[in-house]
Amino acid sequence: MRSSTRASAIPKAAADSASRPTGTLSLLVRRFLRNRLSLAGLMILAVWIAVALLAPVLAPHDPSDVNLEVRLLPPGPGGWLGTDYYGRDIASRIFYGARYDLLISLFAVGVALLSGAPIGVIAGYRGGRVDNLIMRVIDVIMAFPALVLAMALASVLGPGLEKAILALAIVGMAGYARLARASTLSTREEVYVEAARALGAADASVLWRHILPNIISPLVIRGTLGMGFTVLLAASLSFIGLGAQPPTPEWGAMINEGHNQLITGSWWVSTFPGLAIMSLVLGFNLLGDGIRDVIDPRLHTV
Amino acid sequence: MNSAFSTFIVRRLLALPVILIGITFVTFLLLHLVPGDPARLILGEAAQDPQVVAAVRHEWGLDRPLHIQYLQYVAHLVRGDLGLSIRSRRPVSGDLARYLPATVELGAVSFALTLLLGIPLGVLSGARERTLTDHTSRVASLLFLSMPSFWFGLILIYVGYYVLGVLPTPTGRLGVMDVPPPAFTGLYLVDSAVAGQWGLFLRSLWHLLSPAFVLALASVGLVVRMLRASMVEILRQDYIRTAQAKGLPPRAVFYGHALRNALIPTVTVLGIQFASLFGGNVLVETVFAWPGVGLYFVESIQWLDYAPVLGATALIAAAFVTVNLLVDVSYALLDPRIRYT
Repeated sequence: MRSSTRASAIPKAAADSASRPTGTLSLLVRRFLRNRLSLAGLMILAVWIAVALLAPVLAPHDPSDVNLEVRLLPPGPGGWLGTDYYGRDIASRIFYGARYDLLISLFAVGVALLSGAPIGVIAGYRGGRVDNLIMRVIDVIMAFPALVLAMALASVLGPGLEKAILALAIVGMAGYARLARASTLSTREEVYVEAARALGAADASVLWRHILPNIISPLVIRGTLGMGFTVLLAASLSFIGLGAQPPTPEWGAMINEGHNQLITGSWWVSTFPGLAIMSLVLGFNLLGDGIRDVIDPRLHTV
Repeated sequence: MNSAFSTFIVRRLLALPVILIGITFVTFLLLHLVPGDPARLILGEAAQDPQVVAAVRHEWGLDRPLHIQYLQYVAHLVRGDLGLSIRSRRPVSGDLARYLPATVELGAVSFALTLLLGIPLGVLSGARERTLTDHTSRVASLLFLSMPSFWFGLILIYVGYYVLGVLPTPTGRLGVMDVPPPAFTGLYLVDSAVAGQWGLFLRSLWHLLSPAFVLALASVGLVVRMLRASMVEILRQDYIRTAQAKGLPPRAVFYGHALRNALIPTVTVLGIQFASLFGGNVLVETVFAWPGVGLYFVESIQWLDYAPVLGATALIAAAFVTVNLLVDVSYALLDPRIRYT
């Protein structure tokens, strides 16, 4: 940066404006790191991602290794989180399960965001009839409680991971579309957008250079919080037998497999997968809150 | 009542039928997504006889173009005909009517618990910012929001019933030996009170508490977070300092100035929670064997019994939007500052 001070005014200005985003970014990062709760969220997520990646190394047993001689062992020397009805090691299943729960939510939220946001931007930017039509469809989708629509969709689509992901994506899409539309609407009226239009900028370039940067942060916040919610929805689907099918070590399916053993006192079969879900969702919620506090200056004093 | 307000109400009321029609459109699409013949889905077990199947296919217009089929479908819905359940061998609409009171009763009690737990905790947390009370209630509300309610229900049943033996058997609305009160509203609390059976009243309240508590927790988490944030913000406002400076007793400042304003944004959240308690409880009902619309919905999914799945979906969505609309309108009545757009 120092070398540019000697050069002409124009490169200096260019260098300044180029350095500003990193300046803002480092400010945001510093603000984020000051918040202990969001750091905790980041760490929880980092641990689960590491567990998912390293599952083959960490897991003492194969997650689907059936061994009827060691069934329903309580936590202890036989396995630190115990074994289930089929003698499978619960810790190993939870480690491998992290892969499923993370991937299902990542795909579902990814598809929902990448398909919902453009729809919302088009609705907000075009306005008029297109907007009206799109908004009515969104209203109808959002008239259903998320869990009920996800279950109804997954049930007519049939069991299976891909179908659960599709159902969750369709349910989530409307929310991202509505948010993208609202942000687009408020940005569209800004003076700089009007100026760009007056200067003859094409729609595509206005969308890309002026609208998109302004709608990304609300979408990122919602997406992060949405990951946590989607983990809960996905686990709910497999709890009632939709989505992940046994013997897949998905956490919701594991709770379902263990819930009949509660009566006989084998509490550990359902308890630990539930704690795993809770910690992962907590991680996403803390991280989402942290990002929101950092990005939204109105809230960050609170 | 000014004209902007009337316009707002009229517009919201006019939007309702459009959304209700949209809901029937979605369930119609879902019906056609099910692999197999819709006539067999509607008929259930009676689908053995090809002549009967042909008759139903004709009656529901399944041999006609898709848009006619949709109109026929809506015509049946309007008459309350949601098809037959394979499992109960009865019309879906009758089944839903029988299961609905249990869901309404559970939703109402759980909403009462949300208010009873959420508002004091949120206010306390906001008024005593950064104290142990505040930290505890914040962490607790985050945990409430992050845990799967069906899992917490199972844990509660295990600890409270199997281990400690203090909670009632998870057998639904009453114990196995209890006889339900004479049916009047279908709400056991109301019916038993009307019949003067106070023992039964207490037992049904006792059975209601655990599922209602589990169901309320996530809403409590939301309410605490929301109320805390607005309490913290409002207690820093100049008008609070002014009120304190002019010598108002702390109690009057707290209730008259701070709490009143802090509650406004929370009321919106409460409204959404109120609506979702009636639809979001499908898994809590399942875990507690609570014979409501949610349990009927989940069991029908597991039986691949699609007519009740779609019927319950439509009913839950219609109730959800209608309650939301009522909340919106009453909220507009409560808060004169709301913009009617």
